[in-house]
Amino acid sequence: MKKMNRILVILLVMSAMWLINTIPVQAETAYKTFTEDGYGQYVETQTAYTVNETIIQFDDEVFLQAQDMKVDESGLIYVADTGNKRILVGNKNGSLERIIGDGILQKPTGIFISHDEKLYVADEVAAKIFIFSKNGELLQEFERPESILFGEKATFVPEKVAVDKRDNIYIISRGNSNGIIQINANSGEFIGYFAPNQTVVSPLTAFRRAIFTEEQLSRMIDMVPATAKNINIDEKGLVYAVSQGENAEGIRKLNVAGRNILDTKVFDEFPISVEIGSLENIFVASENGFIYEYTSEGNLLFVFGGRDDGRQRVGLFSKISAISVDESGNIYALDPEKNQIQIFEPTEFASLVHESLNLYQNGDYEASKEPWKEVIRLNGLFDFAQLGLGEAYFKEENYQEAMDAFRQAKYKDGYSDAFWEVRNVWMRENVIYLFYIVIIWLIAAQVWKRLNKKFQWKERFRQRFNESERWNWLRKIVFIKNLIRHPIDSYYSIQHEKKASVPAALFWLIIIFAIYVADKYYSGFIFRIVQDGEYNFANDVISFFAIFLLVITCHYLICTINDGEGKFKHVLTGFIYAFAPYVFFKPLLIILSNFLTYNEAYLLSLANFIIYCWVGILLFLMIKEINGYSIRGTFKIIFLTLFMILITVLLLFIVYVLIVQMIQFVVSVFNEGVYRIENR
Amino acid sequence: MKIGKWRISTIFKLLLFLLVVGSFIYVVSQTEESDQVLDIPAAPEVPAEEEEPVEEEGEGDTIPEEVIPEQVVEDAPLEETRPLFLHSKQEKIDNHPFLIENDHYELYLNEENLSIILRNKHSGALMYSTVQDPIDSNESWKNFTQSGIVMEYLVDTNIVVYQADMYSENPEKKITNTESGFIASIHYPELQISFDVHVQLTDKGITVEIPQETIIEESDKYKMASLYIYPFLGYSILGERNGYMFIPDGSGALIHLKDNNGKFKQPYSNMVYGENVGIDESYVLSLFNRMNPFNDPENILMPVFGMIHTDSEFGYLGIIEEGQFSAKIEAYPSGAILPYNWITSKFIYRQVYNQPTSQDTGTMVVRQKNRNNFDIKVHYQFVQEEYANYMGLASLYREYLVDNNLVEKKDIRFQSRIDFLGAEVEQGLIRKKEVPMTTFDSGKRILEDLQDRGVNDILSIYKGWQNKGIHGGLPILSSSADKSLENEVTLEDFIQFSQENNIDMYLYHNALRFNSDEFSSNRHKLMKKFNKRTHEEKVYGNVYEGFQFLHPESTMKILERMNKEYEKANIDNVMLGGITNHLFSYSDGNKEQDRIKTKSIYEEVITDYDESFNLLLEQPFSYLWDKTEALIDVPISSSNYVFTDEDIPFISLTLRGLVPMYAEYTNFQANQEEFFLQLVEQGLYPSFYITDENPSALKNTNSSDIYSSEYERYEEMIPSYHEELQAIHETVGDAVIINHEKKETITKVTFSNDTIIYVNYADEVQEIDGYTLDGLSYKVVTN
Repeated sequence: MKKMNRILVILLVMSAMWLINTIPVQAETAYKTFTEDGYGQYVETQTAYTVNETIIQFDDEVFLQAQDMKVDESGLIYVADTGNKRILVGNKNGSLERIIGDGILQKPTGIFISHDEKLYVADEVAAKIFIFSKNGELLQEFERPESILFGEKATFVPEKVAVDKRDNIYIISRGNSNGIIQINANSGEFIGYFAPNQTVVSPLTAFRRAIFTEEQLSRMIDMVPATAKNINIDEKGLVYAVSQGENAEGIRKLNVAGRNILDTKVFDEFPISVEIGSLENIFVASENGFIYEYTSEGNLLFVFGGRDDGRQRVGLFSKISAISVDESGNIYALDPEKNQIQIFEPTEFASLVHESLNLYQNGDYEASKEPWKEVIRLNGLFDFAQLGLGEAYFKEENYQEAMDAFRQAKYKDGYSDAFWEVRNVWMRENVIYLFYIVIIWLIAAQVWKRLNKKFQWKERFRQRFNESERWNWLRKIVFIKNLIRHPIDSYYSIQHEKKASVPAALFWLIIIFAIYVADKYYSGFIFRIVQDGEYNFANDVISFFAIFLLVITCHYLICTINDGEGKFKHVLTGFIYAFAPYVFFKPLLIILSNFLTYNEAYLLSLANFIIYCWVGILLFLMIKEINGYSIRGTFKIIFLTLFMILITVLLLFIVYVLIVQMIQFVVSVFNEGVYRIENR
Repeated sequence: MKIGKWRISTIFKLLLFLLVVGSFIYVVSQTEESDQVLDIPAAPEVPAEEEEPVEEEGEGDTIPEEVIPEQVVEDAPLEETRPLFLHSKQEKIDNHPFLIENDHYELYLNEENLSIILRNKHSGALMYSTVQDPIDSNESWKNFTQSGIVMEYLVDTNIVVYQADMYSENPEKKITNTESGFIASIHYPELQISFDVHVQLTDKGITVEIPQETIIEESDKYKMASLYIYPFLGYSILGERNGYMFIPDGSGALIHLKDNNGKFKQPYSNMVYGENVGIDESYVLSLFNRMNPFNDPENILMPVFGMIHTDSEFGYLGIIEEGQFSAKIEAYPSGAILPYNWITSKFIYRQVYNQPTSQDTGTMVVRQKNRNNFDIKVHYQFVQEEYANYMGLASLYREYLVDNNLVEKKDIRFQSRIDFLGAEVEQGLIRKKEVPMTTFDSGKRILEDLQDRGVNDILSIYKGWQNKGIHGGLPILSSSADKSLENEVTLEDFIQFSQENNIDMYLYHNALRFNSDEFSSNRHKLMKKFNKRTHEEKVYGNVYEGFQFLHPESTMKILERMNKEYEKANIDNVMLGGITNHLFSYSDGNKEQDRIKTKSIYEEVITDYDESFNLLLEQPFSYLWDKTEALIDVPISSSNYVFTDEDIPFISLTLRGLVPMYAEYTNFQANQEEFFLQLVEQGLYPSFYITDENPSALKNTNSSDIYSSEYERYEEMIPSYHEELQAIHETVGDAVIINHEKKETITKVTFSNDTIIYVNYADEVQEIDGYTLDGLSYKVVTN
């Protein structure tokens, strides 16, 4: 017997050696690692995690379609070996510690290790939650709650389970869309449903609701909110839930009231597992094989991994069913199809990021600055580090530096706040000069007024300008200013007094275009919609002039068949001159937008609103005056124009599609002919 | 007009109706598609086979290989009890009568299936080339494992290949004995295909040749597709033997001979010298949030593979001496289809490809017109006893390279490589804007600063010096630099400066790629694939989506012109990229050209450059190793395939002491300490990619993957790397590596001048041979 034991020990040691023996190979990984920039786009970064071990079995016990895995504080790995109806416990070196629940479990799909070191197992087929001690003794089990509140038809198919410090069990039941089931482990009482996913009422659903019958409605699937896919609980008792589906919130971090306190748009549609790391970082795995690391506030730090697809390289997955993180920050990812666990180890770079984040989250801003700077030196595109650095500077009231860092991070709120402070300081220092300027301005105005009265410069200049034939063209251009004060008279002048011309109008058209472009690309950072470095000039030109042409032609054509009096050139000039407020005031707003913060944003939107209304009114007047319509007639014309635009666009689209089809057809026939002949 | 008489309310109602209908359509179309672009990366069809509808009716029940998913393991009687050693000459071993011998080896041949057995006369160790009692499997695999030569053939434009071996398709064999071996003439009467196999026993092992003039294909219907040469040479079942297979993946990797418990479903199977983009469909890649989430695996840089049996201390290095441009290396770890471990070379004669007939849909399958133009010659050189390990293989390869003048000893002076990125372009409002990253001015300043800090020997490559920068200025058509780089210092001044200060300054010339956004393709011929589509290499950049490849003749024309330009501008140092590590088939009008054609054009022009300039080549394939002053971007590791058990620095074991080798950039390594230790172990010279500006300026350019390059970050790192590595280099000198051992996390490298380098990759302090090494450190010992 002793001999047997010794042989066994030797065998065990040997098999352990075999696993340890593999040197962590440092290679170019099969996957790229990305982080997110301030705009939410992915940018490449240093590899954050590399695989240093792959576990395919615990001693001789292999797993089959394993659905869940947890790593406890001592580093033991618990695998819900779903296909083999048991829980396997092993360690990092691949040796088996024990087998739990053999013969009791039928389809264990979710496990959780509670604060008091009990193992909770959700079993779908047994429809029970089992509680085991760490040594594998069955302590307790829970069935479907009897309570009326649970719902008569509600299903109890426990898929995943989690337990908080007050021994409340949170259960995800497959197909139960009421929310996460909460049961108290001590009293066995059903507490209620927690944090159901919201149905997203899309306009389509609203429309369907309005017209469908009851029966049809009940058959619609997307009326039922998605059930959460997985849950987890952190040390503070916050519940994390991941859900799949387009309209569901991918990751939710829920407070006690069941409210989501995370504002993170998850890009992945298939999150399957969530885990909380030592820095309260949120790790999310997606079924596609990608692993995400978010900060506790939901900023994406790293994403890496991917689907294997026959690339056969380490670090990729056929599928992920669970991830877990151990005390030293290694990520364990379970692949239920390859039946293996890959263990990822943080690299030097990831450790540096974590160190900075740790200091920063502990409020040690001063100390966090250096590591953040080092991160930025290592990766100039790591915007989250800029954000961290910016916050650190901001907390130290070093607003200029903070502003620069926030600008780099494209973090508009922070930039706005920092800029407000910087501007405040500037104002305080320079307000006296502003005062001087105003005084000088007033004095100069008075002086000018007096002198002008005496010498009549202005009047003489105006007279000369108005009478000279040479300045005729310029007069037509300048005429636009009259639209501001006397729109109706001006339209009369345009139509009957030749006070404006088509070339002058085209000149203004180009100016309007220039202002439009300047507004798009050169507004202040916080008010700009386009991203840094994004330019679609060709597109702008085409869309601007195409829309202009479309509107003006449609309008003119409608007018001609409706007894409009305007000629095309009058309609054209009138139309363009109606943009006078835009021409005069918009540039000011563009400049102003560079000096405003979110605190004054309402000023800007108000001003914009006024400008657009004003332009609208001028356009209305233009149609009315130039064609001599009544108000009622004008409305009619406007609607008709819109209608015609719609029809024209449709028509153009149809023609385009037909032509494309035709070309493709001809090309296909020709090519196929050529190749058939060539290869005979 | 009638419209005129419509009432407003009617029109209003009509408009409202249209609005409702329109928004309904909009909403429906919106909700159908998600606004996020998560394309799950779809399966890129892995091995060459594509499941396309077969046009012609199949040829009976021959099952195409690789499609067989069922794995034939376990149950069957696996143990073949074949002796590992026989200590005397035999009449016959396992039905293989004695054929011939020399001073070192005896060759036994079974004429029935061309199976050979090699006996080492010193140790008596045996090497088998076919399976004696194949495990139960389907007929075609059974025949495969028992044949010395296996042919795959095409039937019309059927995309699956059929197998003809020494049993299937009833070959007629005629064996003629020669002085040093035998010639087997093989004829498949039904297929009307025949060829000769020449096998010779040499001092080093055996060579197997199939000269192309002996290949006769008389049928129009049946054409040769590919040949396996002794696929099972040195095979083993599951974990029955000890040893490993060596694959030339990146720096080199080993696959241990062991029972993999069915863990691996697919083999290692890669073209020598990289994928052939001219005919093989590249991965249809779905993007992940507009990014390609995968790194490409390393190319095979040298046409070698190996098998080592450590139990019988016998092994071989297969060197593909001829036909390497159309060869594949395949390694099957046990469990990938069959329970055997085997490694082989496969030669591709002909392929089928998809010919699209319209823009979006519709393709037809076309068979390559001509057979690829090559002879096959594989030299299996054997190692035994204390040399039966990967070091022995590396030494053999080194000898082979030196003896055949494929590599000459070069000046291996230690230098640090400081590369600069000059200009890039980003989108501007009206036209593209130049982004000067390192002007010549600042380049000069940085180099001066480095010399002040004690970095005296510098090799520097200036990338993106040309007009419009590194990606905008492709191809390079003039030797004048981008304007934005020349503030006070011009390119000429800069080159003069570097000459005066002993800095080897090379201008980088990418001779392969073509930017069709910037240049009109009317004046340059572009590389077209066999299906006559212009090849596009997708890069998904912020400015340019992808690049085309120049037609090899265009490359030659441009390079010839630039040769004169460079000479006129007094530029002596040039680095060529792109053409040094790409080879493809292409269609030239109606002609189909294979990789050998491309290779011969490239080789010619590179040889010209080698004569006119000091020439550097970027990660060159082995056939160019003699043309370059140094190897640039030597892979430091393998591609990390799931089935590889260890990485070995095979290139370094072979070439250290002969050719200076520069590593990939240190900038982008996540574990820089570990990377430094690898430089120490492999004797690679350090490389840095430096810009004067902060790389965040590159965010909107095609070089947005360069995230760390600002000089300020590296100004202290470079001198310290330089100092340490130079010191090691001085101790080692031009000694070659004679031994390389790994003991868990410690590596011990022994040189021919008795210097030993120990490297400890573990975080903990470790002891070895009486020396104590701190965590993550190294020790150089001289005797």
